Amino acid sequence: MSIFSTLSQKPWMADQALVDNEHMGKSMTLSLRKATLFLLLIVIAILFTLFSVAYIGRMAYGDWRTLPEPLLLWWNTAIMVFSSFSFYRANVNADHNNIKKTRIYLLVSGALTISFIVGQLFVWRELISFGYFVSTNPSYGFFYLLTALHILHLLGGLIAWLVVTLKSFTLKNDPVNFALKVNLCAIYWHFLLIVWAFLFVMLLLT
Amino acid sequence: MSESIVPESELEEVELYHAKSWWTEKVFTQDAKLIAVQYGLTAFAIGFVALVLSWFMRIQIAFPELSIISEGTYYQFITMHGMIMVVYLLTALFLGAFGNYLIPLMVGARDMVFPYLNMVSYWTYLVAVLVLFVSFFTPGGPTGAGWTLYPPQAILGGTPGQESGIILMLVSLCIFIVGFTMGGLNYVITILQARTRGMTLMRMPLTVWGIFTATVLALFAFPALFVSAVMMLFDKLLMTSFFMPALVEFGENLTYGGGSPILFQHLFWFFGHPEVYIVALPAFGIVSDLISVHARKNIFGFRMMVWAIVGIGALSFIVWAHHMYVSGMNPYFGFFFATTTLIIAVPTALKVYNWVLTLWKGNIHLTIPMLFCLAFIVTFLNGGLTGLFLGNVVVDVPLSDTYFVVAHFHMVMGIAPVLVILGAIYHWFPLITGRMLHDGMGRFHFWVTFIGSYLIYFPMHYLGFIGVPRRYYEMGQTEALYTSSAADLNVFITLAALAVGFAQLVFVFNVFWSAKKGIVAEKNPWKAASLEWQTPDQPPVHGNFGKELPVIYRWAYDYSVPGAEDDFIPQDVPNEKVKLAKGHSQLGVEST
Amino acid sequence: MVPFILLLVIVGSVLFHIFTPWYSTPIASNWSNIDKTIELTFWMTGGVYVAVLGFMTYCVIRFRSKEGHRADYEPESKKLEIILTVLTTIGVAGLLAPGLIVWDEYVSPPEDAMPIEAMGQQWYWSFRLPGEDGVLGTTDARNINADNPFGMNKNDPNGQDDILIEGDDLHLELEKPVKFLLRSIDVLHNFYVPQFRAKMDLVPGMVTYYWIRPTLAGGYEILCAELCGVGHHAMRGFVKVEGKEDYKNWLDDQSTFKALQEEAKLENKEKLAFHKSN
Repeated sequence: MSIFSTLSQKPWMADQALVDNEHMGKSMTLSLRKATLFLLLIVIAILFTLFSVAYIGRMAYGDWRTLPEPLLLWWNTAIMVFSSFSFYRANVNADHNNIKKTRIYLLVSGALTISFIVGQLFVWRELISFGYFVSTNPSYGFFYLLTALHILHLLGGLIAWLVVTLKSFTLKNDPVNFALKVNLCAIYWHFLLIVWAFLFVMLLLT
Repeated sequence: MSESIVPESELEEVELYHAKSWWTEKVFTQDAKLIAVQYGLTAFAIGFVALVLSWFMRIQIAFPELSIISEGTYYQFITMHGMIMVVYLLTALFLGAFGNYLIPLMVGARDMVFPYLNMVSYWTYLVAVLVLFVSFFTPGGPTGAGWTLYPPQAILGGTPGQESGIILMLVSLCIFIVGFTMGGLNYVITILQARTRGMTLMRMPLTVWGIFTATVLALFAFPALFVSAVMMLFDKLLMTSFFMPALVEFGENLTYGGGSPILFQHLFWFFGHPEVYIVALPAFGIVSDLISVHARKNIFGFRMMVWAIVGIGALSFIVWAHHMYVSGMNPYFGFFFATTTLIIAVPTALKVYNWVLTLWKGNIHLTIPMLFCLAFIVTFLNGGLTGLFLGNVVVDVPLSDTYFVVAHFHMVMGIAPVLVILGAIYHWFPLITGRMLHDGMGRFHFWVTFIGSYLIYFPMHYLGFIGVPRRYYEMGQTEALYTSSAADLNVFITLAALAVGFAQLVFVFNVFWSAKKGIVAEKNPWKAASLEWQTPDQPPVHGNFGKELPVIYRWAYDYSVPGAEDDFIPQDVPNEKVKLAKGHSQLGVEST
Repeated sequence: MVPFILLLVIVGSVLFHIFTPWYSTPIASNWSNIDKTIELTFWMTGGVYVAVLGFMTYCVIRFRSKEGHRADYEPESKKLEIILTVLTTIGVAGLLAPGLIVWDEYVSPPEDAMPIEAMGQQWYWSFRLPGEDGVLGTTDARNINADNPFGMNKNDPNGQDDILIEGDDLHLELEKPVKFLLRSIDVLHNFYVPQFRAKMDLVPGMVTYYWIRPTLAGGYEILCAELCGVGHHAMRGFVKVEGKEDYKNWLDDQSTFKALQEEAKLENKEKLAFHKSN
């Protein structure tokens, strides 16, 4: 039912009341956790969008310098893609109740994510060794800021990952809930991959 | 249909939380109702600090020769007063306190969908408040940058609190936003996904609609504040130049260069304007419900009220630059933002009409909550109409940054929402504590608060007309504007402000006294139809509803329905169970 | 008692407005249109205020709860709501249209307006007039030092004859339009003369503007209207509007950038000589 037809209901009318009495009290078919995750992703997306708007707004001023593009960034991007793909595999296996394989893919994703983060720190080190500090130019400032923020979101995700991975070792008879949790993690990782891809393209283009 | 079935949402995923010790029951509680009280008490405590700050400011303005506080302290006080009132009091109170208490009860849920997250949200908020409060005791004190925190001034030496106050302020805001986001996700998903059976969106009371829309606004708008706070922290701590242009401070060239202070203002107001409605929309919702209950009549134009809430919420994202007409931004933006701003006046005006039209042919009980509603209409209408001055770009030019603005926003988003909060407390106090607030003290509190604040802010507009700028520590010798009679007016305003402040002490006393010794409230004392009053226990116990969740058979506004004997029908009473009036065979107009 | 006090609030507000001794200062610029827009807004909003509150008070009197009385049941009235929407929209448009027309004038300075730079810093005002060539020289905040407080570009020929006024009053010629170019070298300020009815922020890193035509001779205070630190309230300046003759006399007494530079050079040489002779 579209939002407009909902908003035009007349809840005080007798015929509407008969329809309404049958309503189950949910506006979406999504599960609670998934709905919450999607809402959270919207909020995070707005956060990064606003940073990008600020980035583009700041770019318009004369002192802007283009960013150097360390080769390492490409490697990190590849690692992030593999990490996300590994989560996809974990998700598929969890759906098929294949706990062992799920666990392996989970561990691989976690390891890849951590190496992505370490890789990003190496990029920072490289930039600093070239003399590109946070305050050297706003473009570098944004680079450090945006990558740090992205890493922070990954770290938050790693907490959830840790919980799920630990669970995979002790799991007994709650496969549905477990699969859901793996699924949520996978969605979050795909989302952060998209965010990173978006940031990477933006940083490359300018 | 009379047989109630436990809805699906009850079975899935949500497990009701059970406390295992005194600590987890009373302190680290996960019960939304207790969390609401925690939010409320914390917000009022820090809000009281902000109130006391305003007394010092008013005494300084009225009696500059006393020099009760220094220039730096004055600017620190205005900053902290503004920020605390807007974010840490009003936002936290409407969403954290009223949201937590009323959402589950009004939509028929046992609790928020994620009680643990809800608890963490409160404690994060408390940390934010403490970080802010600590800045009073750090070297240099809290920031004196004005609540708008405009760079470059906010982080430079000519502003008090640039040593640590501004850093603590920005950090505290970031913490607040993180904490709020946890709560906000909870409120939205609870409303969308955990309603009881029969509770369609359009059957929810307007209070829930207001809180829901405001929460969505907050979730989308607070990131803008987060972005600006983080970027400013970088400018302050890491010497980046996001917002900082090349500048000279007291003869010394700083290393900043190329940044744009206006960029900050855009980000800040992209949050700041929706923030006004984050405060106003819950107030709109609550006041609609109070008027309806105490006038024993359904809210007039219910659908229009919902549309207006949603419409105002959406429009609030495209009006932000009306705070920046004289900021130096491209002046041609003025045409666009003046137009959108005045468009938003239309749904807002319709809401006012509908409140007043609800009174028409009502059966008005002049209870204390009703009195607060009437006072809200007066002050909100006043503040809304002066908004037409400030929103109309060219009229704003002489009035912006004068006391006219101060009077306008205090009337519209200070006094008006606070009157709603107070009215709501008088209304729901029996539900929360099981006792009534003392009536005599309540009436005294009401009249002094309403008349007093009207006497503060109505004449203040006229100081703005003569051109007295805001945020002045003292006016000094400015004969053309600041005549001795204008100075006298300021003395009068200060006296009124102190009286209003005193009345709040009476209110605080009343709350604590009545919670212990007040008259025990009868069940559903105002005879309200909405669900929060229909719990088996009053005050509602953990889990809100008894063994089975209620099933909803009607909207929240079935007051004075023709054919029914009582002048209200609770939402969970099916038609067959409604007691009919003598000579009526069915409900509805047809039978009369 | 309740309706009585509500009536008192309505009547009191109206009487306060009629008899208030606190109202706009006598206007000293061409922006009487702004005053007229305010006046129009006042009448319309005041009318709505009295009407809505009057109606509310009437309802409180007429429909106050009585024994055996029962409220009407009326969820909505499409007709009434459409009428109210349309009327409000018309009223709002009636306020907006004149406002936008005047705003268009405000942001479009006439071709012959004389550019005058007002420069703000914590916490005082300085001014720069274009001199005989009618063009202001370029500046840069990075050039600012003790000898060059305005940050002038020394090799810009347009800047040589610029007239610099530091820490003194600004004079304006009666009926001659001026375009204020606003520049700050540290934080935000706002160039506000209440009698001119105009204001605009000064933003470091950019130049903002507005224009006026002074229409009333006299002296007016400049107030800073954007919080700029602890000295904000003390950041005052003075502008004097006078006839052609007086204005010219004043202008002749002022020094150009070139003259001031030479003076500074001379002073430095003297200092140097003084040090050497010791």
